[in-house]
Amino acid sequence: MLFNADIPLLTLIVFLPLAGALGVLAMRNRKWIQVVALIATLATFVLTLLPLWQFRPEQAGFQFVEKVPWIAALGVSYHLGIDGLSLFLLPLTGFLSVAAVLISWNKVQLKEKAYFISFLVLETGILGVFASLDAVLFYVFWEAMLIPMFLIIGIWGSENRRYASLKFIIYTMAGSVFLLIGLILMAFLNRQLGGVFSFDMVSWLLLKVPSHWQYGIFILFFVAFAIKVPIFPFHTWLPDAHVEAPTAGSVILAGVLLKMGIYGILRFCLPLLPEATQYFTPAIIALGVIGIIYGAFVAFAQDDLKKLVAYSSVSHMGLIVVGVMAGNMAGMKGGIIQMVNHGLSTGALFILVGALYERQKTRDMNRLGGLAARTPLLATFFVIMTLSSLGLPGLNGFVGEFLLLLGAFRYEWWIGALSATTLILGAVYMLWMVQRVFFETDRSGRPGAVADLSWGEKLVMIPLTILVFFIGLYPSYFTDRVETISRQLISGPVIKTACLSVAANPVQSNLAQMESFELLMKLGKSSSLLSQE
Amino acid sequence: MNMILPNVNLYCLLPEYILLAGATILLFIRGGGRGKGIVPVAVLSVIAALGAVYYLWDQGAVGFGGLIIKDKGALLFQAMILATALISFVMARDFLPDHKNTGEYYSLILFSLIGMGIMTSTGDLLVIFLGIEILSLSLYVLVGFMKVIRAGMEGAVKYFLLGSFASALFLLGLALSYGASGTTKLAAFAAPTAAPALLLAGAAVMLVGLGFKVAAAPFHMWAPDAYEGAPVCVASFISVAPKIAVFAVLLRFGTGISGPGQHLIWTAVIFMSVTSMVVGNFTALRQAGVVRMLAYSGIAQAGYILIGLLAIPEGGASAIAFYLLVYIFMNMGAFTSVSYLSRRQGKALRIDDLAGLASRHPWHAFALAVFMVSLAGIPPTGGFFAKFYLFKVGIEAGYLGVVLIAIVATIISFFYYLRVVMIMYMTVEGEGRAPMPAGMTLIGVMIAAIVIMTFLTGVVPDQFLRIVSVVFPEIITGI
Repeated sequence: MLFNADIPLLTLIVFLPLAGALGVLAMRNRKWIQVVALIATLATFVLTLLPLWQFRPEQAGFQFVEKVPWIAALGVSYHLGIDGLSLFLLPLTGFLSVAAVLISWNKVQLKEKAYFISFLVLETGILGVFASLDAVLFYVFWEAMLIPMFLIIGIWGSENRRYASLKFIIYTMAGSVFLLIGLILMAFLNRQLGGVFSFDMVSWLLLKVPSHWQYGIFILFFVAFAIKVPIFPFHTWLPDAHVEAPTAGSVILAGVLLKMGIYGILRFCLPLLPEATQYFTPAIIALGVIGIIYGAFVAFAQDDLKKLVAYSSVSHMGLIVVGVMAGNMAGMKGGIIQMVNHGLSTGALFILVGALYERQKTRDMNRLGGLAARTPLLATFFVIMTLSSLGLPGLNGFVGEFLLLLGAFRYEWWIGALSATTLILGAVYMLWMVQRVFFETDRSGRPGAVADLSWGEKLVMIPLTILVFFIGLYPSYFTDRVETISRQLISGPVIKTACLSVAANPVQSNLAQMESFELLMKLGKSSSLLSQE
Repeated sequence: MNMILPNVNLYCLLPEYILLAGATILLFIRGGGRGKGIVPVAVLSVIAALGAVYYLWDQGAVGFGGLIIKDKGALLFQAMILATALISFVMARDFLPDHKNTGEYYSLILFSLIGMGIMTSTGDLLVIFLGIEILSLSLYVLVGFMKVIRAGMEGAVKYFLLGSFASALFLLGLALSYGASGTTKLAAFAAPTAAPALLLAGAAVMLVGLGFKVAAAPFHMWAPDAYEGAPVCVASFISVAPKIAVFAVLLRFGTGISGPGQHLIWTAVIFMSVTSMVVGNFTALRQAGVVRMLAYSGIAQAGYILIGLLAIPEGGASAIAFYLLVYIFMNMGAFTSVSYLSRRQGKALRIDDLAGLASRHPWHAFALAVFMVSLAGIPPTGGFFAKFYLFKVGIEAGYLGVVLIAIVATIISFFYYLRVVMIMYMTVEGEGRAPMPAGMTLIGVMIAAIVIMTFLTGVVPDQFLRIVSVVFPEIITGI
């Protein structure tokens, strides 16, 4: 045991970047600003790794729990804790934040102090979202994180940055305020059903929300998260934000921020509102499938590298949505793992695209080409990350996509078939991109040497590549740890269906139902564990 | 008949006596210029009045045969008003030109404080009216105080005409309700009466009068012009302090109104709330001047606060008190920043003038950004919890529809609040104007303190909520 229970590990993790931001504030010259930012993010990253060691995969419920009253008058507490769902998202955030600092090394020309402060505050916000077990605390982090991202896009972005930053913040905030209403309604339901006005998410888990409330609250929740994911009709902010954001901003945006949407759906919608989830699942899966295909086709049509990667995100996130909503173990596990995978590979792709842009001053694929010979290292990493993103066996993407597709097929074969087009379409646009950028002839009209990756970029890419292989070759490390939570997450809606279908048609039997009765037992066990907390 | 006043209990008006003494002394101090005895006297009398409020806090006081009730609700609201005045003094000292920085200015503010102190601490309509008039007369003069500005005179005239109209309406309502119930006590609204319709009409007309005073739509017409025409230090004061006083009155009203037809009054309040949110937010979107934008934002904020009035049994009073407390910090903070930027320029500050402010004055831009974010209701600032609390009590009272409208209005408000942040941070240096003195100044220190308070109310709201929740059961029974 490196840390015993007395040390508030999660608090340290969440607020260390903020302390780092204060440190940066005190620094005067550029070198020290960067050094302090790097130390803060590195230390946070190391701390986020600690839970991986001590996490007990077989235990249901939350671990590393900290709870103190915060606003007693409103039933709000300072309540942190993690489970299998958030376990890997913390180190992912920690890692990508280090990456963000490293790739910005000596590259920020304007207001570098504010730049690093924004990133550190952003990191605190994101970590807080993943670690909060109190709905208001969650909401505070969820919203507080938007302001630094808004500034990052708006101040250090490219040409059209002001439009993109405003679009980003208005979109996401518009969704969030409805989320707030949903949360307040949940707190009232908690009082109605459980006796206390409370925003404690752990106590919410034990509620049986009445059906007539479920649908309304589900919609309030879902819109906020769907905008964040983004699920198909709500995605329009994403390409703008990605294209205009500085490289490090895109990395965090694609790598972590998008996961907050899926995280929200899994944390709030599925376990709290099983009946509504069951009801809306077909519609959401339909949107997910549309997202997969639409995102892929639009990505296919792009000439701008960043836009291409951004739309590929829309496609990949669509697949995750389909998987987690499918309501079976494969899809759920695949979804949770794919969140990490997508963070790593898309984050890496954005880093490399940023590096390319810096060297060639363009992201237009029609004006690039033949770079493989001139920047072999960059090209190698780029190809690895592309392959990881399109799901080559042996790399991380395969694990997630395979499980997700399995889940989709188990849900409905044709949904699986439609989702599987992501493999073909993904291969088409990704490989075509690689071909146009790195092979073919040089169209830039600027012959001459192009610098390969700098030390900072190498320092980021090497561990990323190792991770990509590690997850690809040893996936059970991850699948084991998300087993319990996945079971818990799919059990809610399934039990409901089982009960409903048993009532309606007692002779009907299928695999899902048998699975569900087995789960019913397990859920009973897990909820008793929960109540012990 | 018992003509001898039963228990006068003179000392229940202790804060007001102190303010009166201060105001009178200020009229006799000659000197002019900044910091030559005038500001210290003004500040000292306000601090002494705060001390008197603190002294009365635990015991409370009732005097003049029950006409003056200094319960905890009254004292809290009065303390908030006095704090607002303190902030406005520091602003005025910095903002007003030397020849205008005279005793009269501070004296008038002190008189208005007396008026508001009386408004907060009475349950009698006639005394409320007296308070409103003392307040209004002082403010009419203050709005036109810098008579060099033409727009200022226009704003002052508008404010005077519409303000007198509002006072007259209030008086009409008072007469109607007196006719119906035979008493000027607010408690009459709760008692059964022979002429409920007349009483209701009286309440409605008085509501209109008070609506004027808080600048709630559709009675907001005067506000943008008056704010813009007035010196910024006065605009900030009239955007916050009278609002606090009038909401104290409305809270006493609200708890009293019952009986047949009361839902008509509540419908009127919902109407005012919704129109204020819609009109305020949409019009604020199109403003070029910072002060005008803040004026419309203030109208919208009044709309949010009115939600609390609908939910008095569910703790709406403490939600309102908390919102007003936060509102002091964020709105006075925003105005202080603006006054600091536009001092002695004789020209209204436009939003575009703020361009590139973050490069030249990072701290100052940060402060203004914090106030904007707080006004927009984004955590971790106090504005978030203030809104959150209001929405919570609103939903609890069953006004989910109104709260949803407020949510949509909030989304609209992001556009104009964040626009200020964007202009400051995301434009190239040197596009704007607004030169500023460097170095540490009194007003700079105060802005820093307000920023800290804005964050404190957002990070540890519990401490502040405890004050307002302890206080406000009493305002309900206090009448």
